[in-house]
Parts: sequence; structure tokens; C-alpha cells
Amino acid sequence: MKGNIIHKDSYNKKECNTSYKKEGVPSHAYDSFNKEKNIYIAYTDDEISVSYWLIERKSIKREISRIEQQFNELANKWREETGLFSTSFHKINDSYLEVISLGKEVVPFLLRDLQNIGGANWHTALKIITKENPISEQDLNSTKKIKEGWTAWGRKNNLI
Amino acid sequence: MIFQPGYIYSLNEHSIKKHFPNLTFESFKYTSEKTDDYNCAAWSIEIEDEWIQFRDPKGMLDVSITTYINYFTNLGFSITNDKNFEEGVKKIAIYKNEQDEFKHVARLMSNGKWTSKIGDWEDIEHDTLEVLADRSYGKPCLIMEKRKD
Repeated sequence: MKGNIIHKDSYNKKECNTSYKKEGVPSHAYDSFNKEKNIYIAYTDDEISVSYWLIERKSIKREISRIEQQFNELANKWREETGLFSTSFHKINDSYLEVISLGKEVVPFLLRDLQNIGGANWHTALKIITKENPISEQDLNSTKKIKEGWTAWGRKNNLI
Repeated sequence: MIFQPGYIYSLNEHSIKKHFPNLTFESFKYTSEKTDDYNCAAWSIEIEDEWIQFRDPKGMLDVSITTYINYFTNLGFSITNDKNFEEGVKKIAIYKNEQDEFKHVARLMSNGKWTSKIGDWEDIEHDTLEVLADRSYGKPCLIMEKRKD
């Protein structure tokens, strides 16, 4: 499998990052960071190899893992702190607000976590972050309808 | 109640220590697994598929004790001083915090004990109202009763 061929003169040569060697990048390859495309490109003197594609995926995966890890830690803490409360009002605490502060990148994880117990309470966070609201007023007291509504929204927007 | 093997309790030693200083394992028993299908307000009137809570005309969540008292009053409950079981009478106990915010409601059972849905967590049967009092649930502030149909 080959990535797109990019003219090598567009990049500055520097010594190849050794971590890329695990992905099958030749030891004599060079790498460069393309700011515009936000990817690292490894290339040899002859052509851009498939490693370019692998490196891009690897760096993106690292970024998602960081947000996911932060969310998981906050969500666990939030559940411990507020799971005993029967009002959404009392479930919005500092941990909940920290989740909101993670911004749009956390939305897929919120949507996934809807399915867990207590997940319907992410309704407020999702509303604030996405600035959308797929839940009608009469469904606000149904955890089932809230979960279904946001899940459908997430699928429609290709987030889950 | 016997739970599935591997069931992870939400109301556990750690959360009891954190939230319920008066609760001991001798003073309650579990009566359901955790679920978010219903909350304490729904459980107090024996509903198991609704998360009962209220919003003001602007759509903001409303946890004032007055709102909850009015809700139960509209269902036919009235305030009483008697928290003992009486045949033919349903009784509930409402908890509030120092800010007069609703925190919890429990329902009296025919054996004289109380049943509570602990938020998203398990239902429990507990000996007294006081075992859930202080810290996270505030204190029980009043009893309401309603004649059964």
C-alpha cells in the first residue's frame, strides 16, 4: 500500500526519528513535519513511502488517546462524586465542568458513554459543547429517550 | 438480594464512607442493581421508568424544596408529623440541605423500614431515615402521607 506521492523538495531533510522505524520506515529515510497537513512524513531519497500514511495515523491516534484518557478519568470521578444524586442539577459539579472544558474533541466519548448508567446526564454537556439539542422538552425526564436522541444525533453527524 | 456474579456495587464501602457517615452495612440491605431508569422521586411513588425532576419556566433545573412539596401535594399527599406505618396510608420522607434544596425522598414500607433509590445506584431498604442523613443528602425535613385508593 502506498501513500500519496509528494514532491520531496517541499520538505526539509533531517535525521529519521527512530520511533518510525517500528512502523517499517527504512533506516535511511528522512522525516519532516508538514504544518499545513499536520502530519509527519517519512521519505527516502527515491519516493514517499507508505510510512507517510502510517505516521499520520499514529500521531492522530496519540492525540485521541490523550483526550479519551482524560475523559475516562473525569467521568469515573464524576460518577463517584454524583451518582447518588437524583437531580441533574446536583450532578453538575467541578468534574462535570472539566469534561465540558475538553471541548468538541470529547463529544464522541460523551456519546459513547451515554450508554452507561448515568450517561443521560451528559445531555447538558453535549448541549453546551455542540450548541445543539435533539431532545424535546417532553422527553427530558426519560433517560432512555435522551440516550436514543443523542445517539441518533451522533450517528447522523458521523461521530459514532 | 443476590446479584449476578461479578456485579460491581456503586453504593460500596468507599462511597458510603464518602457520602453517608451514618450508614452501616448492618443498617441496610440492597434491593436492586444499579439503574438510571428511575430516580428517588419516581421510586417514592413506585414508578420505575422515569427520571422525575423539574424545570422552571425558563427551562432551568429547579431543585427547590417547595417545588417538590407542591408536586407531591398535587399527587394527593399532605404533610404529617407521623412517620410510623399505618395500614392504608402511603408515606414518604423528603430530605433537604441547608440551602433548602431537595436532595432525596424515601418511601415507608409496611414493615416499618424505608426504601430509597440512591440516584443512579442501587435501591436499598434501610432501618431509619437518619442513616442516609448528613453530608450528601442533608436531613429529612418532613413526612407526607396519602390515603391509598
